[in-house]
Amino acid sequence: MVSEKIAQKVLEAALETGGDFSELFLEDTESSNLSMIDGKLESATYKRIRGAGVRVLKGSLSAYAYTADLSEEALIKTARAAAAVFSSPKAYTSMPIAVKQDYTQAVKRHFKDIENAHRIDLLKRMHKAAKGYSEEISQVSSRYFDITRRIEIFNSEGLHVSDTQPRVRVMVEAVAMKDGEAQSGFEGPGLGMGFEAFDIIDVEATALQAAKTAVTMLHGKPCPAKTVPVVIDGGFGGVILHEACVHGLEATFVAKGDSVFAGKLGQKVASDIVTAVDDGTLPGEWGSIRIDDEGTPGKRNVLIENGILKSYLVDRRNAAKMNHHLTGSSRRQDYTFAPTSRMTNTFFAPGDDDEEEMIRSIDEGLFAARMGGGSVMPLTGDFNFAVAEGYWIKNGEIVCPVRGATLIGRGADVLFKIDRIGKKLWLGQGNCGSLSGMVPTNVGQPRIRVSEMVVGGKGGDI
Amino acid sequence: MNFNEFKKELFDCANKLGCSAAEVYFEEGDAFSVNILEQEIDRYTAAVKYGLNLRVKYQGKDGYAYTEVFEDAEALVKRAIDNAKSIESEDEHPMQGKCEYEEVGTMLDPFKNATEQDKIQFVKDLETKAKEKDERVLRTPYCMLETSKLAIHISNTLGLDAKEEVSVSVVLLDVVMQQGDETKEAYAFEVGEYAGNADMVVDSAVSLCADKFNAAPVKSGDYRILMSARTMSEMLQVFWRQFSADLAQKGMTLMANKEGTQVANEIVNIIDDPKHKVYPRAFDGEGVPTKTKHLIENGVLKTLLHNLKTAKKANIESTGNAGRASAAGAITIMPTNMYLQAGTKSYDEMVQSLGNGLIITELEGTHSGANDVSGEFSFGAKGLLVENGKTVRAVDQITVAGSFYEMLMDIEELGGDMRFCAADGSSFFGAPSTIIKKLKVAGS
Repeated sequence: MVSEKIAQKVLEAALETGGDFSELFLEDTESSNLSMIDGKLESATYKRIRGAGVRVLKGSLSAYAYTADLSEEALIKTARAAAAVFSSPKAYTSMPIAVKQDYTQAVKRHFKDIENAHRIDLLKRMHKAAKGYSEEISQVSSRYFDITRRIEIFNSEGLHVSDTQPRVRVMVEAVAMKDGEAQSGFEGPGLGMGFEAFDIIDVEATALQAAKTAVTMLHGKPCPAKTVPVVIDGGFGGVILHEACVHGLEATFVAKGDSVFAGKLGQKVASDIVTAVDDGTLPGEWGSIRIDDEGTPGKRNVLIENGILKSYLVDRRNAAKMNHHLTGSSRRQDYTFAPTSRMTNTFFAPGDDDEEEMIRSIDEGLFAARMGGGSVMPLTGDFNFAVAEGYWIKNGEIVCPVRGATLIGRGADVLFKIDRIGKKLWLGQGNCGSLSGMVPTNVGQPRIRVSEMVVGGKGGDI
Repeated sequence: MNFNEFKKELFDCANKLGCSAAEVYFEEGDAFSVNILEQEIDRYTAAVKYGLNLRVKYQGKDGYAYTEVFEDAEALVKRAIDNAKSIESEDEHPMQGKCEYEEVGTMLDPFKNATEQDKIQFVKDLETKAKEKDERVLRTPYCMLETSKLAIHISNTLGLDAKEEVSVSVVLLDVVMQQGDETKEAYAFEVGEYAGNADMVVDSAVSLCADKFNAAPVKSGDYRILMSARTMSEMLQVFWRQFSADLAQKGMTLMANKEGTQVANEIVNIIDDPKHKVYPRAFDGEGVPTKTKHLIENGVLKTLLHNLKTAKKANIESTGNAGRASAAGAITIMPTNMYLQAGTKSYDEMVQSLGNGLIITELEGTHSGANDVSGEFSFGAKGLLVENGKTVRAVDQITVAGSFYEMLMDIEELGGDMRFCAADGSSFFGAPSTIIKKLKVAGS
């Protein structure tokens, strides 16, 4: 997006005040967003952002400046704006820029070649499927989103890489209503590839699932407020790992000691059956990255192995301070954010346990079949998340659907309370918000059981 | 190419390609943020940003295209037309023509004319003050100031020409405190007028954190609840969509068709006041003059929040609540400065009034624990146990659950301490401390 000569000048300008590392991140990204309600396309937007961010590091201190203007003059000015934070004599010079390494992989169907009519067709099919599920479905809204993110990164160590990152996702929300009560169901599958993603994503099945959740919850009882064993199903259920643990493994929090997991490498942090992985290399997945936003290739990182903490998620800024290798997962929403350690595809590895037995052996408890979102305070590990589709268990059997359930707990405790992990792993899609903005991530797990959790809801005993 | 040249090209091109009208929404500004750790600049960001969102009217339908690259006007217009052609919804979305605006003053920003050095010094002092405030303060993981200046310009071929400049500062302080072997964390933030008041920010973060030691859950059950001004403001932030006319017309909020009926206890007044000093604005996201109105007056729903499109459909006037989730987004609906009107009692009197119950001082998972359609919620919470009007101990590891609609009916008393404690984009939410007859608590 700019010449190597200009990039070199920018990297040099950024080092003028004593920085020991400088980086130029360039981005030119196009995205389309369509939304349908009641079977009619209601809004269609197109967005192109283009800009550059210059980062200067001095030890573990970071300065960042960005601009939407890619002229040489503006880029140099931006580099100086970042460098202005430091005031030492120049100590490092930029290395010669290497030959560009392009990580872009083949896309079968580029979004730019797809007419809106094809996108709208997907939304129509989802609407029809969800609406047809039951007469109680009163409203269906669906959205389509695709993005082609072109990035190019130069740094003062001579790095020069580029990548084109396509992603696509459909989202459907079905509302079921009866007698002044309303409940909703949501599904949002996505993949990291071109429009060929819809050879894999079954939009009708997606919509039917959202409708099923809404109708099931409409006939559910308010969830009791109680501390009980909880079985969490696979796929998006893995949000428990994401919130309860892995945010606390991000260098952002660990480097400053603001995490319950700081200083615990090599120690036991979970029950023996727990192995947790963050893998940016899964082909075509929503959370995958061939290179991260510092130019480091994506990696498979085993975070916890048989209950022992093996690795944090570490970016360049914190690697030296933490004496830890780079994990290839430094990410940012776009050029308006400095990158930091984030997750990619994060999941519990499959175990040996029988999925049915997990429920059968509970006297009273909750089966969380579909999870909503959640959040965590990394310092204390206090987490919470919402259950989108839950069922109450009594005497080893599911007795009724329950709605409005929230699970809370402490990450460090809950990992030790995992007493079953099933055999079949699958993933669910989300967007994770943190210091460097919203990034697409997958969560995942097989069905698991936690021996005890606080279940919040507004209902009485069942 | 500059904005005015590019705009002219876009309008000419839109006209040539058969659009009946065209509009540009342009944002331009700079942003600065600094985080201090141990008196050093831990993170620093400076930026210049601009972007333009084109909206065309083509065969009665709206199409949008946003760009930060002022090249090739024709390609952008074609994108927007292509999007307009896809629209199937029959709802008409009128475009605002030329109009005059009231003078509303500007947002109070203590850092409006501050130099970068002044700002950095302010944050360094903030860290020092936090550590001096209480010897249990270990460190401040976030001690930051963000300032931004933004110029908004909406201009269209019908003669609309609305301009506004905004200068906003946000200060955020997160403190970690230790007592014995317990470590606790709490944050406080201030926007606008109070962002320059370091003592106030330090006080609220440190006192919130200090109140957390020796916390334990309470037994599960129904509790009488005192929501603090902050947690009640967050409730409005979570549930404002219940007042969206757009969602109501689509049957996705239970407020639909409830105008003129009792939806809350009669002491409840909820107001949307675009002229409020927290963030005054003369026009909304589509250039319509803003107006102050009751959403709920003495417990009765008076109006929902409308833009030109929903107002046309309902055959009324817009309430001036068009908004954009981002500069690149389509026109939707947003509140301006929305608040629950204060009562008269002091906070201490409210605690007295609570008698036996829980004060909720923090909510967790407000982005995920609420059902937008039904108004039901279940959030993680922290707070204080009150017995006989006296605070007994700290409470954590609990959830509070209920329904927004039941909660409105169950509001029993309102404190005199209304403050704007929550924000979402350019929407601000305020509330006083509020007593609620009961909510369901899950604990031990």
